[in-house]
Amino acid sequence: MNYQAIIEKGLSLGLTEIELFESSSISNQITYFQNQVNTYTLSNTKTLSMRGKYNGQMGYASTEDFSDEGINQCLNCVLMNAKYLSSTDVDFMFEGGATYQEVTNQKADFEDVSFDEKVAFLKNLEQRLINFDKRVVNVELDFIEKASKQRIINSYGIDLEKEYSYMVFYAQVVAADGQNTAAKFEAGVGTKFKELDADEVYNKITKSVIDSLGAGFVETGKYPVVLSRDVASSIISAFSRVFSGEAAMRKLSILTDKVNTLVFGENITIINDPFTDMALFKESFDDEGVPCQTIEVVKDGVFTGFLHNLRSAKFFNQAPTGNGFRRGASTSASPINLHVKEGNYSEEDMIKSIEKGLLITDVQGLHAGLNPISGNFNVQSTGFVIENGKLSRPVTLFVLSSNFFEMLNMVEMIGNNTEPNFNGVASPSLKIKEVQISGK
Amino acid sequence: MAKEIINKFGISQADAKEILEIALSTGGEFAEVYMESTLNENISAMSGKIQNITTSKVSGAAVRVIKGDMAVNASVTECSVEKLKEVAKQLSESFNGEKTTNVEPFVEKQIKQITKTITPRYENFDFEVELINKATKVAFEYSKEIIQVSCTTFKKIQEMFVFASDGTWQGDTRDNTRFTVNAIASDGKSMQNVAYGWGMNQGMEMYDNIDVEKYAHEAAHDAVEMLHAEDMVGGDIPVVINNGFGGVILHEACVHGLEATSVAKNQSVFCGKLGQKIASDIVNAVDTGVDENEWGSINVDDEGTPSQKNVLIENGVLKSYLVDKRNAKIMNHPVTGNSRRETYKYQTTSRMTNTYFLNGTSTFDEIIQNTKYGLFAKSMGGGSVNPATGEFNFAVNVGYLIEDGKITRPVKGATLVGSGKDILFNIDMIANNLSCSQGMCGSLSGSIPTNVGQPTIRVSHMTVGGKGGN
Repeated sequence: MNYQAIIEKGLSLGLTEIELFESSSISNQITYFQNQVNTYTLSNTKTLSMRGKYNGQMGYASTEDFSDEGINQCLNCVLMNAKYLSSTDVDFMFEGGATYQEVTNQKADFEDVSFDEKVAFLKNLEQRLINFDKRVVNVELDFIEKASKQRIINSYGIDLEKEYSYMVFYAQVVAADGQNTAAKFEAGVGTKFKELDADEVYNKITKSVIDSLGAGFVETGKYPVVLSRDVASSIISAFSRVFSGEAAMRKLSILTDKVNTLVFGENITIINDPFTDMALFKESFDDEGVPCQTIEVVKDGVFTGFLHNLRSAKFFNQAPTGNGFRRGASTSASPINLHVKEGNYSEEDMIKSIEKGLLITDVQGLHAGLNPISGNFNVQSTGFVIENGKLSRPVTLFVLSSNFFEMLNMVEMIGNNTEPNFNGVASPSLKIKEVQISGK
Repeated sequence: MAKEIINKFGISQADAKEILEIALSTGGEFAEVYMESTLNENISAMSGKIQNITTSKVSGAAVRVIKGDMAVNASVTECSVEKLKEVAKQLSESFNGEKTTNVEPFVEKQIKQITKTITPRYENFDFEVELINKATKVAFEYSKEIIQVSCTTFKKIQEMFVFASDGTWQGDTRDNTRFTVNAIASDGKSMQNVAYGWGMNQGMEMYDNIDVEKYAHEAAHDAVEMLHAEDMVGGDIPVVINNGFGGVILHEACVHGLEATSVAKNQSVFCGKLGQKIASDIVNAVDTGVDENEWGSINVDDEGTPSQKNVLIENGVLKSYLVDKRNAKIMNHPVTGNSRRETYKYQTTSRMTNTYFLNGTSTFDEIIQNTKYGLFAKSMGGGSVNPATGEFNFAVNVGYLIEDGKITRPVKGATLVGSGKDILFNIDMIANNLSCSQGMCGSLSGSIPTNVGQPTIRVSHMTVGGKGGN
C-alpha cells in the first residue's frame, strides 16, 4: 500500500499532520476436546488506523476496506471528526529525532512445526489430565499461535515497525466428586514449541483443581491474607490507570495531587519497564513513535510522577515517557510492562507467618467490582484457609473488600516469585496485614 | 433485504455455490460464509468538550466447514470471491474424505422485520453534540460536588449476509444506537461515579422517545448520594434487586450456563436439567430477540436463523437452552436463533439477545415492606460467571439498606456473589414492574449488545461483600 500517497492526500485535504497505524495479524487456534480437534480457526486480518490534525484538533478513524474509496472515506472521517472536536487538549504528533533502545523479541517458531505435532502435544496433555484422577470430569485445551505486526508512519517522516509472535496453550479442567464441582484454568506461553512447558501446566492445574474440591465457606471478618502472584497482578493491573497522565488530566486519578508524596508503604516499588525480562514482550517505542523508557513510578512508596503520552506530557509541561498506546481506534497514556519489585519471601514463608487467615488464589469480577477513582474494590474470591501457618481447607464464594491504596500500605511481606503474564502487569505474591472478608 | 445487502458484497448465487462446493469437496457436511460491513461511530465528551470522535469501518468474511463434531473456520479481511475460494480450499484440506454433501438451492426466508430504522445516522454530529451539551449541563447543575461529567454516544450499523450449504441465504442490518452519561462526584477526599443511559436497535429516531436530561439528573443524584454513603457491611442477608439492569443476575447466574457453548461440552451446572426444576415456582424467564427495536433484538441471527422468543424457565422448570446450528446437532436440541458474533473475526456461537424474568404478582412496595433487614440494590454494575461451577459475582452501583420494611440509608461498595444453581431457588418474591436495560455482553464470540431485565425481585439470602463494619 502506498502510505506516502495517503499522507499526501490527507495533507491536501487540509490536515496539518497525519499519522497512519497499520496493524495486521495472523492467528491460528486449535481447540482440543474429547480426544479430537474440536475446532480449528485461522485468522488473517488487517486494520489501518489514521489520525490527523485540523485546526488544532485530532480526528481519528480506521478502516478494513483498503480500496481507494475505503481509504478516501477514512481520510474524510478523520477530517470531519476533527472539525467537531472542542477539546482544549493540545494534540500533536512525534517529530522524531530520538534514539531508540534496540530490543529483541524472539520470533515464535510455529510455522516450522506441523499441525500434527501441535495436535499430538494437546492429545498427550489431555490424556494425562483425564487419567490423573477419576474426579476429573471435563478437560478442554486450546493452542493459539499468533504473529502480529504494527507499523507507524507520520507526516514528519517517522516510519517504524514492530512485530510480536508467540504460542500459548490453555487448559481448563473441571473436577467433581458428586457433591462439589471445581473448575480451574492454566496457561503456558512461549516462542519455541519444544520449550512449551506442558509439565508445569499439568502440575499446577491438577493440584489446584483437586485441592479446591469441596470448598466451604468462610466467616465474615477481617483477616490477614496472602495474595497469590496471579491475584496480586490482576488487582494491580485493574488499577494501573491511576498512573496514567491522561487519567490525571481528566481528574480521574486519585494520585492527581500526590506526585512526590508517600502513597504506598515504603516497601513498595513499582517499575514501568519496557525492557524487562519479567514481561513477555519488550518495547522499544510506543504507538506514537516515542522511545519507551524505564521509570520507577513508585519508589520506596513515593509516587514519582505520571506516565505520559504526547498529549498528557504537554498538558503537564513534561517530557513524554513513551507510554502512548492505542486502545481501539484511539490512543491513551498507559503503563507498559509494569512490575512490582520483588522481595525475599516465598509464598510458603508468608503462609507460615499467619496464625489465622486466607490464601487467595483466584479473584473474579474485577471489571465490575472496583471503583477506579476511589480505589475501593470488592471481588469474588477463592482460596484456602490458613491455620497455624498451614493451609487447612479450600474456601470459595467470599468477597475480598479493600482499597487499593490502603492495601498497598499494609503489605507485610513481598514475594520472590514473579512470572511474566499476559496482564502486562507482574507482581510477586503479597502478604497483606488485614482485609475485610465477607462470607457466611 | 437480502438482495440489497448481498449486492454490496458483490457475490452472486453462482459464486456462493462454487465457494461452498469447494469447502465441501473433502467430505465436509456443512459449509457457511458470513460477510459483514460495519460502521462504528463513537463520540466521547468530557465536561461538555468533545474530546474524541472515532469512526471505524470493519469489513471482512468468515468461512466455516463442519464435519461431525469438528469445525474449521477462517476469518479474512479481504472479502473477494477469489479470496473466499482460496480460503474454502484451505479449510477443505483439514479433511481428506470424498464429497458427501451437496449445496442446497438457496432460499431466502421471508421474515417479519422486527427492527425498523428510519434514519440510521445523520450526515454530521450536530445533533449528538447538542444532546451531550444538554445532559452535561443538567448533571453539573445538580450539585457543586459533581466535578466531571462524561457523555458517550455509540452507533453501530452492521450489515451482514450469510449463505450456507443448507440453503441459507439471509441478510440483516443491525443499527445499535446508545447514549450514556456518567457523573463523577467528589468531596475532595474520595470520588464516586454513576452512569445511566439508553440504547436500542433503532436509528436516530430513538432519541425522540428518551430524555437524556433525566438520565443526567439521576446519574448526578446517585453519584452524590453514593459519595456520602456508608460502606456496606458484608454478610449473608436478604437482597432486593431492582428492576431493569438488576436482570444482570439472571444473565450471569443462569443464562450463561444455558448457552450451548458450555452445555454441549458438559461444562455447565445446568447440563441435563431440561424439564427439571432449577428455580423456585414463581420464576419465569425468556430470551427473545423479537422485541421490537430492542437493543438485543435481531431479525436473523449470524447463521441466518430467524430470531424467536425462547421460554427458558417456566414456573421454575428449565424449558430450553440457547442453541446454534452446530451445537443443535451435538445436543439434539432445536436451533433457537441465538448464534451471534461481534465481528467476522470471532466464530459465531450461542449467545443471549434480550433476556429477562417475567412479571410476578407482588408489588415493589410489598417486597420492601416484607423485608425486615436487607440490601436494596437499586442499580447494578456488571458481573461475571464461571458456567462450570455456576459461581458468579456482580457489583451494586447504587445501594440502600432496608430496615424494618423501609428503605433507609444509602450504602456503597456492595458486591453480590453466589452460585447460580442456589440463587434461583432463593427468589421468594417477584414484583410486577418488568423493565429492561442495555449491556454489552463479552464472551467467546466477542462483545455483543444484549438487554438484561426483570421486575424487582427478592432473594431470601445471599452473600453480600462490603468493606464496612468492624
